[in-house]
Parts: sequence; structure tokens; C-alpha cells
Amino acid sequence: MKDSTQQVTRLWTSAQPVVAAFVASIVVNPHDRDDVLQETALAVLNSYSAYDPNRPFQAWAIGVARNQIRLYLRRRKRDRLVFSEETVATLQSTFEKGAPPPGLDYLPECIDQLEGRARTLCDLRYQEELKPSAIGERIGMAANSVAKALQRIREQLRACIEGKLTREGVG
Amino acid sequence: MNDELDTLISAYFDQTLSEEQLGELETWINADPENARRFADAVYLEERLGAELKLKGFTDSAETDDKIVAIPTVTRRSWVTRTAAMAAGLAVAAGLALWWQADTATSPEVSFASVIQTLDVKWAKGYEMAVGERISSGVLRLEMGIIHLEFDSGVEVTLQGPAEFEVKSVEETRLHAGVLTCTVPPGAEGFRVDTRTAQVVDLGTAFGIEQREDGQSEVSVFDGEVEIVTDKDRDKHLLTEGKSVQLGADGSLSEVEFSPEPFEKLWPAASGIAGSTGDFRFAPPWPRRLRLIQSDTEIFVLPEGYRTELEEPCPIDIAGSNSADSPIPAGQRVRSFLLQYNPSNAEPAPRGERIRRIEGSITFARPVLGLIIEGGTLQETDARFSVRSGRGPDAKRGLEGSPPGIADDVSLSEDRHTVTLKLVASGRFSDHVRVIVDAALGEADSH
Repeated sequence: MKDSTQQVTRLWTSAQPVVAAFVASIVVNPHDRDDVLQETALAVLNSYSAYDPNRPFQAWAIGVARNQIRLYLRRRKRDRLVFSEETVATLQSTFEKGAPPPGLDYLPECIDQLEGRARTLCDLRYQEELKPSAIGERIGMAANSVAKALQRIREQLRACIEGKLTREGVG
Repeated sequence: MNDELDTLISAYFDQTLSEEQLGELETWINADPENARRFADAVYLEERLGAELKLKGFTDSAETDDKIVAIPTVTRRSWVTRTAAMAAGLAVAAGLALWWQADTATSPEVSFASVIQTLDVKWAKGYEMAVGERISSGVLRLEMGIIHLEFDSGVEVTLQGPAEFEVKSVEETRLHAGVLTCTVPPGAEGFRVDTRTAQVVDLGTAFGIEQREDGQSEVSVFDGEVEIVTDKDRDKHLLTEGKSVQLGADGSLSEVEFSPEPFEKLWPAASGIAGSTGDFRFAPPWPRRLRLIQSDTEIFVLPEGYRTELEEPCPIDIAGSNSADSPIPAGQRVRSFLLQYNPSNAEPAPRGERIRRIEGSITFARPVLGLIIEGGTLQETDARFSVRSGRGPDAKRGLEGSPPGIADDVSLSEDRHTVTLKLVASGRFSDHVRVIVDAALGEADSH
């Protein structure tokens, strides 16, 4: 592999959790998200020569992602559920400066603590990528109830992580 | 965290927000960087949650495999696959298949082939490779010796140094310098080797190229046909079995006499032979127009066709494994070699005259699955393997068992790679031994 290709691959590997989260904050549909991320990866490779190494790579990569998001939003018909330019700019600056919160590595354990229906809901929501209404049909629940249940699961997981962080002495 | 905001954020992820609610969420995010920060944290958690669950789903369903081929169009995309795809998004861009490995800390490299075997190789400085090593896009350079490569498609390439060989993809390569032979199995047609002045596309099955430093190259077709497109005038030329062309440094093309000689040294390696001692002579691995070769002093090694998958179990006389001499099961991919001793039909030596012995050993790159030495078994397996291999008259075949004193001997080494042959040149019988060698795809030789 050429030197620069190795370099950009390395840089990209460490930056991609942040870039992925930035894209996820705006492009909610999982398949579209994959596509935008893929396009971003390509764009990063293709325009790597234009990257100024004195600037932080993460910020630059997020900028590249922002352009891909813009193209994506333009391609789709005006979707109700899409953030405004102003919000996108706010989020860009937030992700550029930040890093993932602590404790995410505890997630697998916390997920294992979910029981029965809660776990089923997660599987349907994240493995099969079903929307609450489809989940509701599958397991015989009202869509609203599914939405509420998912909200409680997220809270439960957050509390679980915070608990582990506190015990660790970090939180 | 504010209950109402929790609801809004949760609903945003599940895409159940109303337009009004979206406006509320945005107002809150933009009001304070701290709010934006909390929203971002929620996104990180949500992303990771989805990833972990996908991973659990992915690994649960693929219990036996450690390695999973993930092609960009696969519908079940795990976070890991996506991560790997993004980390090596460049490779995905080129539309290449990606090997997913259990630990994704390192970015996976896309590779298309393995180094199967080397013979007295001296690599160029900085280009050293080990047997079993995977080859990704790049250049192989050797100063001398012979190497044998196997692509994931089943295409086999043998190179003789000094040589420079560039691999671009699983079906696109370039020979900058050196001597190369190539066999292309069914299904892999279209494999391409570029010379300095032309493209050579294999339409099945075997050819060789000699690329000289002065820019001139020669292409010979041993089996099947190839298509040559010169860079100069983009003309297509079809070259068939038993024909050679010369490609000038200026890009010209002219037909010349068929000459397989420059490739002779590669035949053993191309056949999967790691070495030999004694009185052996090798024929190339593709079907040959050989008339019966008679020699009193040499044993001929005739590879019988390319590797094939056994459709029925294959009977053997001496087993390669410790188990009893049971047949090799169907489905096994094998290569067959016929070791042939055909002395001229001279009068048997008068009694008392010293009896000549011929001996030698052949070492195969892959383990031997079985040896066939008895006339009956030989005949039975002839139908399966013998392909224009120039068999002789079969008045009596197979190694003689007796009488004592002129008994022949064939043995297999403990590591199953070396066959040793001791034949008595009694001048009357043709001796044949058929060697069945393991040829499963995708396994590098450990010898």
C-alpha cells in the first residue's frame, strides 16, 4: 500500500467513531446513514491531498461529512424530520470539539442485563431496524407503547452505565 | 435529564416526532452548547447501542466462522462490517470483497492471493514474502528462483526471477519483467496479465509470457486460448493452443514458432512439485501432445490435467494417511501425477548381467493422499485422470511385486510429501505409479 493510503486509513480509523456519530445525529434512517458514511469515506480518500496536516484530522473529516450530508439532504425530497442548516452547523461544531462520553464500553454488559421483552424490543429495533409501528404489529403492542418502552430502555441503559462509572470512581 | 427532552430525543431516534416537536428539539439544541453536548452524548449512546446489538446478532448467527466475507451489498450490515468498510472505505470504493476479522482494531487489507510455494527464491530487498503470506495490491519482486501463487479465484501463477509482477486485483495483473506461466480454471476466465505493450486476457486455460528488459515479450498458449490486445493499435488477436506471438518493444505483434522451452523450469513449481532428486524428468501441467516417451534412464513425471474435484471416491493402493487404504472420498479436490518409466523394448538383459536400478524422490508442495501402484487400480483410475498423458502399451503395468531380488520399491515419507521410487530397469515392463495429491483451494503449503 502507498504511504499516504496507509496514513489516511489510520487517521480515518481513529476519527470514524466521531464522524459516524455526527452523521447519525442528522441522518436518522440507518440505510441512508450507511450510504452517507460510505460516501464520506470515499470523499476523505479522494480529497486527502487537499487536507492540511496542521489542522486536526477529525475536524476536517467532519467537514467532509457535512458536505456529504448536504448532498444527501438535497437529493431527498424535503423531509419533515430533518434538522435545519442552523442545527447542522451547531452539531458540526459540537462533534468537532468533542469526543464520545465515557462508559460506552459498559454497554454490552448493560444490554445483557435487559430481560425478556425489553431485549426483544431491542433486537427488533436495532437488528431488524424496524420502526415502532412495525414492532408493535410484530409483538402485539400499540406503537405508542413501543415508543415509550424504547425510551425507558435507553434510560435504563444510561443509568446502568452511570452506575458502573460511579463504582469505577469516574462518574 | 429533563423528562420531556428525553421523550423528544428518544422519539427523534425512532423517527416518530411531529414537525412541531422537531422544532422544539432544535430550539433546545441551538439554545446552549451544553444542550448540544447532551444531545451528542445521547447520539453516541444510541449509535453504540445499535452497533453492539447488530454485533450480537451477527456473531450469534455465524458461530462456526471466524472470517466472514462482507460484500458492500449485503443487507445485514453489522456495525463491525460498516466500521471495517469505512476504515477501508478506499477498498470498498474499488468494489473489492472485504475480509472481516474478529478484532477490528486494525484496518483490514484487501488481499487476493497467497504465496503457495517458493523454490530457491531470492527476493529483492524490501520485497520479501513468506510461504502462506497473503498478497494485496502491489508489486512482487524477486531476483532469482521460482514462486508459485494462487489467487482466490483458483488462478495459479508461477514466476521465475529475475521478475517484477504487479497485482492490481484478483483478476488484473501486470508482468513488468520475468517469465510467467498461468493456469486459469473454469469460472475464472478473464484473468488478465498485461505486458509492457499489450494486455493478455485468458479465455481458459493455460499460457506463458516472457517479458524481457528490452521491452520485447513473447506469449505462448499451452492450452485453450487467450486474447491479446496491443496498446498500440487496440487490435484484438486470438491466440490458440500451440501458438506463440512475439510482442515488440514498439508495440508490434508477430506470430512466431511455438516455443514452450523458456517455461520448462517453471513446470514443476506450476504443478505443485517442491523438489526432486534422482532420475526424473518433468512434463508441463497442461495437456501435452506427447507421443510415448521412451527412456531407459529417466522416470517421467506427467501431471494429469489440472486440479479436479473427485466426483466419486478414488481407490488407492497405498494410503497417505495412517488409516487403512480406504478410497479417497468424493468431493476432495486433488491433483494427479503419473510417474512413468517406459524403457525401450530392448531384449531383457541376459542372466548374470548387472541389473540397472533407477531411483529418485519427488517432494510435493501438498500432502499425498494416496499412491496407486497395482495394474488393476491403475486401469480403473486411468479413465478418471489420464488426459493425453502418453500412456504406453499396457501389456503389464504396475510395479512388480516379485520375484525377490528385483523387487521394486515405492515409499511415502512420514510427512506425506515425498514419494521415493526404486525401480529395476529390467527392460521389459512399463512401470507406472499414480500419485494423488491434495489440492484443496485456499490452503497454503506448509512444507
